[in-house]
Amino acid sequence: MIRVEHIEKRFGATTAVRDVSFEANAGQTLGLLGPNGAGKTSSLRILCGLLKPDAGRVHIDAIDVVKSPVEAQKKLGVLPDNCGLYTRLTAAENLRYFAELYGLSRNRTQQRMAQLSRQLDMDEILHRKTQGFSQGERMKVALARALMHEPPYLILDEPTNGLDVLTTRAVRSLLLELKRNGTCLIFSSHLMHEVSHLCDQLTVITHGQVSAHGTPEDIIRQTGGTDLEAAFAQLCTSASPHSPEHDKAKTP
Amino acid sequence: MKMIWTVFKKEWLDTRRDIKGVLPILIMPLLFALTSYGVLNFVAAMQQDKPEFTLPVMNGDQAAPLLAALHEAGLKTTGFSGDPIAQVREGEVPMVLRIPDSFSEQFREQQMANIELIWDLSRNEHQATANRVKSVVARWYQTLGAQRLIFRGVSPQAAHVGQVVDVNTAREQQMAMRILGSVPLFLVLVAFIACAGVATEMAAGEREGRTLETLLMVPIAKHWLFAGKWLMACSLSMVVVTLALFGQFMAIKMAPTAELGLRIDVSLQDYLQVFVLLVPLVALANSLLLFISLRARSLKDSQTYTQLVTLLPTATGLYVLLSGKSTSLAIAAIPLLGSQALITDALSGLSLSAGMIALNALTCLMLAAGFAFAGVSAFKLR
Repeated sequence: MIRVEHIEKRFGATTAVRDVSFEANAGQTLGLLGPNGAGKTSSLRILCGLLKPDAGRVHIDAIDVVKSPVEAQKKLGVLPDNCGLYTRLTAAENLRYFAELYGLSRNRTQQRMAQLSRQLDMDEILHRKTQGFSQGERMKVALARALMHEPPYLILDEPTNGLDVLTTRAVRSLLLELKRNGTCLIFSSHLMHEVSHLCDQLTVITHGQVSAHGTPEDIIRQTGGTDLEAAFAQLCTSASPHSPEHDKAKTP
Repeated sequence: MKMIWTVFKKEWLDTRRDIKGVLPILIMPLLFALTSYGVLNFVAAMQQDKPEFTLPVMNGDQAAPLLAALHEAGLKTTGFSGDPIAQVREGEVPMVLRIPDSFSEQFREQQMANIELIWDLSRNEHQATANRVKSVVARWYQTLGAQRLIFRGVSPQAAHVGQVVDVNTAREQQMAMRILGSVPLFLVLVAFIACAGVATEMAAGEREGRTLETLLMVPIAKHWLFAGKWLMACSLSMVVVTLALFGQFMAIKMAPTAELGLRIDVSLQDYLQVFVLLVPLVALANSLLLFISLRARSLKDSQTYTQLVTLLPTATGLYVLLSGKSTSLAIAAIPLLGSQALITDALSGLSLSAGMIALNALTCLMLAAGFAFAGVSAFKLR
């Protein structure tokens, strides 16, 4: 189980994350929704042990991420928003490097590489240098890299951003299969249709804090909107520092 | 250890494919070897092609015996008329030996008969020739004075009480190293900056290429990642250092040192000593370079800072070259400066104390460990 409790993160005078809490269990898919700059990526980086929170606690299966980041990272597979591939290495070399760093044996690495290549339709690009790859190809390699060691928790930062329809469908089908097999997925996105297709639970983050949490239906009901997009738009507007609702909320 | 090996292998593969980055590193030792060879050849060529000097003499007919002595010493003379001071000042003639009109008369009367050598003391290129002329003339005066004393029944030794005699303790190889003083500087430069680009690429390049985030999410301690990268940079530096040593060996072997009157006999043991001295320096340099690159905010920042690092060996190298001091224990204990001084000693054929080598290695490795520690703590997202 992943448990994030009241985390805060400041960068100089800017507070990126104010008070964010969420939970996710095995086999569950949690979507972090929020506009650009809301604090989704910073929250995920704290969860992955890349950033140290200024306040709050993060646990993965009772492992304190701040105190034991290496132990916690063993349970995570992460797809960052930029993919982060070595461009002078081939796709296979990228996968092999990370498999070795995760401690996979040579045979297991070969097996997983073949399996993921088939699932993500990567056979043609596997032995090509990643320099010049399209966004979709880079995404596939990065996703395969995140899944090489079969992690129980998969963190994805805007996984289908800039992908064509076919690649989006392939990624979505893989994520659903992983969910069926009991993998816990946490992903950030601002694409409503993707969120409603995949997520059991949603946490909406605006201006560094949680403004709503629940199932997609709960959130639509809470805001009185007609669909998720309208609900999300209302949450973003009402949480804006310049909105009348926000000013009213701040008045004692 | 397996993790270090994994990072090491990946960095080798990545660097090997970066031809534009690797080629200058491999060319550097070749360029330094060619520079050493070129300098020695140039000096030899300068000596061979030097035109024979002819001394302009004013009123030469007044001092025929002196001219005979100059000719005997191998100096050619030619008559001169005109304004010697103006012509020397304008650089039309290098120097003029002016014999006064009264010289023959004063000489006959056995009075003090002075002559003048007119030349520009600020021009270093005429220094050796002027000294040679003055030495021949002084010897002629001395011989003449001795003859006059003998003629009067006085022993010349009565007027010649004694003189200071130079006793040169420098070995021939040490003298040669004064000319080849740039060789230790080249070697230290190679050891120190060979992998500056690679270190930048491995550290700041990860940040710029946005692969650092992915790498930091791998569940291994950051010091293993640092160690793998450091080991890769050190191994490449050692390859380049070996090439540089071989290049300098070939340059010295093939250069016309005999024609310059130099004896350079650097044995295999001397080269091995230099190699041993360069190993801790390579460890220090790559720790420093990785630390700088990890601390830098961008690839450009890192490149700027690493360029400044190249000034360090140049500064210490010039100090060693110009100071000419013998290496003390205190100097040996200073990383970089000590390495450079000891390498100069080794190539000069001086025997090095094992204690000094060990002390230098210890201080270099301690500083390398300090930079590595600081580098590991800088291995994070900002």
